[in-house]
Amino acid sequence: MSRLRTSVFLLAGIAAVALAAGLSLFVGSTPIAPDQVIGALVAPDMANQEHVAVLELRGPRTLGCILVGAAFAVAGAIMQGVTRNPLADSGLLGINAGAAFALALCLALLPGMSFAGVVACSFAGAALALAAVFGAVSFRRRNMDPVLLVLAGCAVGLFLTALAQGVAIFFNIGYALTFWTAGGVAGIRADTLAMTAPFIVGALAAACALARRVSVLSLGDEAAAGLGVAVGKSRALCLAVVLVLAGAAVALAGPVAFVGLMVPHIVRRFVGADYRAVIPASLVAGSTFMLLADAAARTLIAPSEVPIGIIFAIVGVPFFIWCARREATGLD
Amino acid sequence: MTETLRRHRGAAMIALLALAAALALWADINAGYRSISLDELGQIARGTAPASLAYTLVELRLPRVLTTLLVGAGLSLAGCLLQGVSRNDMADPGVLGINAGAGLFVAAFIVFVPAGLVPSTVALPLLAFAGSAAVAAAGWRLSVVRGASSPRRLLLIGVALATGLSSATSLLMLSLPDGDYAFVQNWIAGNIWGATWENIPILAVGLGVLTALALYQARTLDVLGLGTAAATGLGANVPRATAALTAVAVGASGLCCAVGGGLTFVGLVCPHVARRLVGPSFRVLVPASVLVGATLMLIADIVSRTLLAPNEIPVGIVAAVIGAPYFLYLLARS
Amino acid sequence: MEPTATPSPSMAPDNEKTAFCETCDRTCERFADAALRGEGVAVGYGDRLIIEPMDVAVPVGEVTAIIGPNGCGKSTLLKALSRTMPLAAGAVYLDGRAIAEMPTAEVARKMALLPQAPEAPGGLTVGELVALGRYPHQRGFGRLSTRDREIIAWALAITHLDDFSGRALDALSGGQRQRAWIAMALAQDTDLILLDEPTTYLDMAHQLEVLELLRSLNEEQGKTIALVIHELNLAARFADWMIALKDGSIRGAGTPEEVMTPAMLREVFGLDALIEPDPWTGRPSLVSYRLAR
Repeated sequence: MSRLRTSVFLLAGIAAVALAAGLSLFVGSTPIAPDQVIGALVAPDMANQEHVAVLELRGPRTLGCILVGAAFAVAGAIMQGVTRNPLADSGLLGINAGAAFALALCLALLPGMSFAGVVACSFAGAALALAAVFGAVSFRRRNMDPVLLVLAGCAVGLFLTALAQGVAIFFNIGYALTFWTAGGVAGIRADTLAMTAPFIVGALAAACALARRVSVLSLGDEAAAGLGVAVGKSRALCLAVVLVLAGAAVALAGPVAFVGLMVPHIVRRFVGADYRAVIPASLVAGSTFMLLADAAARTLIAPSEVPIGIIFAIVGVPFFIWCARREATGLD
Repeated sequence: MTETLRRHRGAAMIALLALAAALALWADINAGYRSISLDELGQIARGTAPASLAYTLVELRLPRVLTTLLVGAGLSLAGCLLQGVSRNDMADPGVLGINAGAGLFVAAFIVFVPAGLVPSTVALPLLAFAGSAAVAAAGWRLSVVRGASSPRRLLLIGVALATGLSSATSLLMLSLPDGDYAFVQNWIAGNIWGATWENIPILAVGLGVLTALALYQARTLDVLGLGTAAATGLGANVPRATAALTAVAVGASGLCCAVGGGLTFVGLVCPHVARRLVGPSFRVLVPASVLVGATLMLIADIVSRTLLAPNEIPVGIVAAVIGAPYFLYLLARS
Repeated sequence: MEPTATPSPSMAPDNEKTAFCETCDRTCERFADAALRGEGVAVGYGDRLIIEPMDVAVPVGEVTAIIGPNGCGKSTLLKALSRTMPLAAGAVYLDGRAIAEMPTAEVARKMALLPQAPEAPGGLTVGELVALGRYPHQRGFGRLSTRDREIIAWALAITHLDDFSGRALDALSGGQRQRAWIAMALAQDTDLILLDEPTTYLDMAHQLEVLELLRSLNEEQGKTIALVIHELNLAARFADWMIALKDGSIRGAGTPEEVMTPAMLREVFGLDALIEPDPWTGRPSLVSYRLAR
């Protein structure tokens, strides 16, 4: 029965992604006629301004949203499973801040660095932050207390954000950094996409392959070991995938929190708690949400744009509070 | 240890802390590219010093140093009270989102109210307080599920509110012209901008009154620390006392936010240090927290001015860089 | 006479010296001046009631034990009676006066409460904890008066904690820590002491220690004691009056001999019980039991 539900959900999800992607391509801050859009995709004419807009701006942006949304959502799902923490999210655990700090350093100290280097720094920053958070929480302790994890994540996040702010003020890159810090898919171009897409796609595939292990890990360390899973190695593998996903997504679109929190929760209501279903379902749902949020970001205060991270924060914070209240007895 | 010994130990520690604060004050006055010797201080007091020297001390250094001292004291008081009331070691006006609320209201004011319409020295403290109070009330209300709150839930909700409100503030800031933008960014990072002689009396008197109120309620704070059931059993009106003490804390942090911007972790770290020195009884903990806050803040100010001289690091960043690892250490240990 | 499976003793008006108790089907002096009385009290959230509307009384000058299976509402009942939990219906009377109309500090001077699994801030010493028991009697900035110090010293002496006054609470054993909390309740200088599961987390020797202390407080100091307790045999051994709860309503109230019966245990706990008088204390004792079919 649940197999059927999952399949239905996935099919519906893929359809939703297609629809939302279409929406993203056809609707924008400057109106472009539908036949022009189709023309750009089928028979591109480089002299045609509108074709260029579609191929250079909207296309990469749409594709970027799909990848970034999927990446954040799946990263959140894996973390929630592996840390058995319903409130886990790459933003809340400080990973985004780590990547952001690394990127601020890049912007300030090595402004001419290629995008490949930027992506690498992003990974490094994310890894640093995660190591600090996990280190703090698992110090002298066997279990990963969910609340402590979020709190440690926020402390690390605040720390690295403060450092990033310091760097920004010192090197006078404040404005540029803030826009990026707020999360923007507007800057996604074909070249940056080409750089990060392989990482994201690869990590997503790995995530689906690891889904079974995540399911087992979500039962607890002892139960997982009893079922024959190498707990330490599996967890490290899963977290490595999370780092690649979050790091690449942050490099593309800046730190967007709460996607990884909300999407798995919503998805779980439809397909249940087994991560073999939750991870693929989060993939498609994440893409859909990102595309929809981006559409909102572009149209709400047109012709200006609301940074997408802010939209997710404004929706995500009430959602998080609702979750925290609902899980009240479970977490105390 | 008998009780009289204990009391004397507490008093002795407080005297020591007062001395430390005085030393830090002197060091901060002297920090910077021009130091002032005791002799010169005497000259200024007698009015025989050269005008430029007197100006440096009286118009530049003293207001800033005194404001720093008061802001540190006030934030530490707020943190001490919040930790007592929420029975949560890790409460802090920044962590609970209270500072973020002040930040949002201030940013909104700067964005929406045309410059010069309302004098900022009046408006900003009021707005900072209003924002702080609004978030404190909301955070408290939201952390109550089925009639009971829990310390961890309060923290979680506070952290969520802080994140959301900072995002909203970022959104507002994006629509600011460059000059205002830099101001708000510095304010949010925590920069003692409001260091003028006009503000100091307000700050000093306000914090004095709030500290006295806190001392008056010291026993109630002790009793609240035993938990709601035990406190009620001992005859404390828990909801009323909690609201009153939270209001005092928010008042203190609002006042400090207004002149110092959002400084996270000061209210977290200083009461902890104080508690290690004098123990958990609030009759000594309140004054000790105030003194430790003043001292540590002065030290942070010295660091912020001398580390990357002649550039200045906003003191909030120094506070975060010291405070966050300490917060992590507390988490690891808890 | 077998207690019937109907709810609780009901109260006659205050000015009568005796009251008719529906549970034991006779008029009863012991409820006329109950130390603590609830009339029609109910506790719950929304339409989910944890305590069904009931009349309940804690007789003065006796040790009362409240027993029942997990989730029956015994702790909730104690919290409701001690005004630490709001009532959905009904009223509680302390020494004949309505609690809701008394200032909470005044209530605290007449009734002390030891909550379940109490926690104190780290580093608090035994002396400091016991001193907090004087809170309802203090004014203003709250220096301890000579009288305060006398009572604190007395509380520490009675609980045999005089030598521990400067020690931190976390450094004590479970039994000692519980005694420290009892000393705090004693420092409150009340006639009535309520305790919510004071023995649940203690080992057997410490359980006896605490219960014997409570009994001596009752016999030598004349204090009225009411406690929620899990261990049936200890309840029967130390209590003068027992109240058995199930699913939020009273299934029986009476002396241990009246409550510790096979019929009552089957109804309240779902157990077939073998009950014999304890060879050492003479009180009813649960010798063996099995699940009722």
